[in-house]
Amino acid sequence: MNKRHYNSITTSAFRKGFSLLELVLAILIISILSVGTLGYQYLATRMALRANAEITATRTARFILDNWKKTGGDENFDLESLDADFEEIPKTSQYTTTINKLPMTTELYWKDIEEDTLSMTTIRQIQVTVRWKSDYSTSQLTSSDPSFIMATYVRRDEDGG
Amino acid sequence: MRLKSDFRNRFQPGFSLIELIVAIAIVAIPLAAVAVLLTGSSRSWQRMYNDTHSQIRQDSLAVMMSIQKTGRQANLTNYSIYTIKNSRYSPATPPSGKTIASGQAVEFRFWQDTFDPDNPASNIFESDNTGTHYALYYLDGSTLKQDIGRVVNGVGGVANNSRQTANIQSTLVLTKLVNTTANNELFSHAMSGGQGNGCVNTRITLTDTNKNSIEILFGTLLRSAWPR
Repeated sequence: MNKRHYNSITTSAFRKGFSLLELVLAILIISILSVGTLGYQYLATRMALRANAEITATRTARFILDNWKKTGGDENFDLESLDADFEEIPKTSQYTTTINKLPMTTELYWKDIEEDTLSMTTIRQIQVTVRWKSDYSTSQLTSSDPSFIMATYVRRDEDGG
Repeated sequence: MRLKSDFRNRFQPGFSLIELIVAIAIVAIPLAAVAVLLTGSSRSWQRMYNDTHSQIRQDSLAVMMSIQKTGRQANLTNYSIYTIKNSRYSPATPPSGKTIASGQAVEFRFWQDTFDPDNPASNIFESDNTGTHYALYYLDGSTLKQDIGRVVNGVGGVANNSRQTANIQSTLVLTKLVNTTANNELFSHAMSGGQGNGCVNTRITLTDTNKNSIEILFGTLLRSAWPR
């Protein structure tokens, strides 16, 4: 057995630890898993923001409907009259407002759905749509931005309650 | 002896210095990126967690649930919103040319006694009472409190421009975090002919010591058909 051959056998037999390639691969795998975990965390944060926005939008919609109901579903119902910082967008039935730091646009809609001529009562559907920016900014809203719609019914001869 | 030392140097297992430096450099790059992501994400996560479990959020829910629950069973023919100045309660009136009146206190009347056939006064179909009990929500500094008490001889939570304490059954502190700078007039309603329309709007901003704040706006429709 010559010396070179002896060296080769001894190196293979006594080599311990990882190769560089193994180490890099392991680090890459750990990195990918870490980024995946962070992705979930990021998603959870986004969902919390969205939940917050949906809660605010829902409360705003209910606030508007409660007050609108009190007028018996008046077609001239004006959100600006509530002194709650709603501003009408000219030539539309839309209003802008910011509640709990969330800029929103609200749109009112009504429709008479049933009229009883004998009892002289009319059932009116009143509906409000609240829309906000998906990135929670104050930029121009588009139809792809999230929205929340809430509707209820009122008797035109009664108000509220 | 020399032979043994030479043998150990030649066949020492592990990495060379160059290999180690290259490996550390390669490992450091993704680790640094992960660290940056982790720090930012962890910070935003912590902020969101604190916000979700914050005192202001818990308090805002307590305020909303309490007012809506009590207001929903209250009688719209007998409720009042008051302004408070130097402990003096005055019925809120709209500014000139406006219809919305707002103030720092609201009193509801509601029926809490159960029906008792031997006591006509407790019979909601025979009594002229608008409620057997009252709930007075009022701002005391930056604290929002609720008095619950019995209506006695028509007197509830406020009489002669002052808060009544003789018939109080309980006083609750709903929150101590009202930001009166952001909004001092918590309660409002539309009025016509000196009467409120029966929809009490509440707008409250709560701010904690870390300057985190939450704003809630909600309406409470009072009962129009019961007890009278």
